[in-house]
Amino acid sequence: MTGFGTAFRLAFRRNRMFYLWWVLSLSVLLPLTVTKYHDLVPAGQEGQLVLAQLVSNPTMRAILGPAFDLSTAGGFTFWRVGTFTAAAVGMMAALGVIRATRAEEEDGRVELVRAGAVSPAAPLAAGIALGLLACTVLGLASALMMAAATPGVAGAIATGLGLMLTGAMFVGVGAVWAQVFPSARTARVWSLGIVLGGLYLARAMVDAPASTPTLDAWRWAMPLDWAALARPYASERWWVFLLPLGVTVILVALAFWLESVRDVGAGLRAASRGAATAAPSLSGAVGLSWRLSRVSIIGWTVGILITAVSMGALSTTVDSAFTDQPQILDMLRKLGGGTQVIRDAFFSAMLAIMATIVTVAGIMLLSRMRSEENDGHSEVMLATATTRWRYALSLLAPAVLLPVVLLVASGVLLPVLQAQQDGSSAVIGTITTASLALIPGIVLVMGFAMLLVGWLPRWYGLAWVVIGWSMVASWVLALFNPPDWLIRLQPWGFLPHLPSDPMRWGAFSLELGLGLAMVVAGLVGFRRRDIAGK
Amino acid sequence: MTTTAIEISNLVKRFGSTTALDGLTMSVPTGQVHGFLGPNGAGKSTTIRVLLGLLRADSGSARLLGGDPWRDAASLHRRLAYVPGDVNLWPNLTGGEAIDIIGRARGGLDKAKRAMLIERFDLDPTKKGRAYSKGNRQKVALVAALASDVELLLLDEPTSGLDPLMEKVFSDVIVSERKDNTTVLLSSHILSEVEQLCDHVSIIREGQIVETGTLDQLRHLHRTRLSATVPDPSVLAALPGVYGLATEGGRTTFEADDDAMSGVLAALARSGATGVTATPPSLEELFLSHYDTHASEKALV
Repeated sequence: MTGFGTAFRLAFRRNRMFYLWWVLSLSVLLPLTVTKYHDLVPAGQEGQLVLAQLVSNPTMRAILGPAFDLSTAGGFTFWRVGTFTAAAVGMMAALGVIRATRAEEEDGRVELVRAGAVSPAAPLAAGIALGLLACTVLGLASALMMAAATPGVAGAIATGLGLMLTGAMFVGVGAVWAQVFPSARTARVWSLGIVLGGLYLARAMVDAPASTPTLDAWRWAMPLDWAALARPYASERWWVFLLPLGVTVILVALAFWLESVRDVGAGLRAASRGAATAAPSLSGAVGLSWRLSRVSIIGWTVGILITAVSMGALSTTVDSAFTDQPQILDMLRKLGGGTQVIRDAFFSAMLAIMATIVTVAGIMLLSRMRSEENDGHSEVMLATATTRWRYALSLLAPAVLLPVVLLVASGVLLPVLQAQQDGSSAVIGTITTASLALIPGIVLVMGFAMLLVGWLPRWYGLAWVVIGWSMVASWVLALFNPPDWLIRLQPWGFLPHLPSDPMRWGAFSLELGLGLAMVVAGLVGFRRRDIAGK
Repeated sequence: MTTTAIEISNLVKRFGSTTALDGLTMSVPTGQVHGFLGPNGAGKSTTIRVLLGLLRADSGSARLLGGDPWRDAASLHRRLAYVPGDVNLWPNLTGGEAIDIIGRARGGLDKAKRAMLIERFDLDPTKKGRAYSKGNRQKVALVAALASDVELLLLDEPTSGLDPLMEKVFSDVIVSERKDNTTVLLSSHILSEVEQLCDHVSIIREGQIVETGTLDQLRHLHRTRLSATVPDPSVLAALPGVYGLATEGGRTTFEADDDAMSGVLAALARSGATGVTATPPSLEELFLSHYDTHASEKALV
């Protein structure tokens, strides 16, 4: 392929930091967990009980995936963080390949490369090759570190292969969507929001209930379970890796074929025409903001509603999950709550996850303020009779309101099926109240994001760091027995998690006030600063 | 009604360690079509963006239509329209939608004028933003700006990317705006366009206005180039205000100061010169003389 070398070096140069950070942070996750195994799972009878309790908990299975042999450090580690890490590798791979191909093309840089003596497919091949290389390096690094950290070389190799091939599939997914859509943003939404998010949700639905032959069969249709189904550290089944390998080959071939039948800069469909005049609703900053964000708003709403109802359905399986675990039922009864305690903990945990996820929607919506300014659109709008306040609010209001509304909607919808089973709607009231108590966390993060927009727009990425940190803090950090204040040091850490916690008005109002103050300070900054042009 | 549309004095704007505007002073009376000339990076766009209240000046003052461009931004913007130098449209909105959004955000646009402009500029308003070529994006921005009845037009290199036919349409539209007493600030480095459209010109260099006036006044400061067949060129050498005398192949060429012109012409007539041509300095020469001398000064330092 003429020019592949040049295209690959260019892609490498432009994306090396992106991949470096992803690979570094993801490859240490499993080895770090392994070193904590003996703290988490005590030796002997006590450890057995801890494990049995973990595995029989549908919440854990929904979040973490199927468990096989948890008696070894390696097997436990793969269950505890393996499937989650594999999905994160998929996220890296899809984002990376879109970044190296469609995003470059959208900015007109692929045109420059293709005008040189390179074969038409070279830029795509370079983006795919770089993504596969990153997945391979990540898999290799994880395998080496696991082999060094815990016995079982075969398990370490299977772990590395699982991460690498799950990533490889998403190199394919990203490459295909990057051919279909002319905009990198749309390709990202389809790769992560619809394919990765959808597959993770489907996986959770299949993995959470107690095992049945039908569900076990369905599990084979879940690509994000394949790494676990190869059973690292639990008598490895190597042939399972043929599945992700096959999917990767098919998707990559599909991407190359799609690339060959479309024009540079275009998607698959010819650019459609639209209205010659703007609809009456499309008037001023508010109409524009809605028009720019409506697809994201509708997409997020549908996605969150489906997620809330389906994750909520898992609570109804709590009882059946414990029927074959009499010791645990007994222990819970002694604690005085029966399965009710587990159910409350389940809803609390789900709401905390939902709060983080819906805030991602808010940060994405507010990032419009950055992209609109960089693209020179803010300049055009602010050269009209639109005041800075009005302009900023037109983009800020949906970014704060959407996550708040979606969180409360989750609070209503998560327990719907439980209420049906109980024959009483009491649980809906309880969980909806619990969702209201988490709102200040959203306001705090969005306030911080607005503060960045107003004063340090180039540092907007810090808002993503806050969200990334709160995910790490709630998903991973708890494993390492860190001091309590460190676990709490995140937007939802100090808020009361009802109904398990009592209501704490102090924390609630303090955080809400702080968030609102940052929103106002951010708006003031935006009012005062220079607006960048194109 | 103020008689001065734009009044800037001693404006300074810094970006970090670079000084984009370094004590810029200029004024544009109401109803004037004012050319704003300068090479890339001289500070034209920065000046316009300060006038739009997008950038905050570090010192100095600017008045726009009698108001403060920073404090009164939104209300002033009802009375003006702006065409940015680098037009970038919303990729998934059509050109027609973009025109309407910008127009409505300004406080409404004249539908008949919008239709007329779309036709004259031969623009397809149903295409999506990402599908337009550079020239067509420029047309969208021009229609959006010109379709409103405003007192002031701030145009930042408005014809970049337009083909010659469309440049002509643009010129015609500006000429009719001038008849309606609209003030126009036209930043450009296309000299013929400025020469054709503008009454007044300001030349900006490194954030300062280095020359301003009517085209005639500016030309006055510069020499006319003459060429003739002169039997005895030495009669010219003795005259005051004659420079660069040279004879080649029987043709004598030289430059003369405007106030020495009558003496020069009389001397030419007396000496029996034939085939006399006189070329007034073009804007191009004015421009080059400013930037060339500056470049060579720099080279010496």
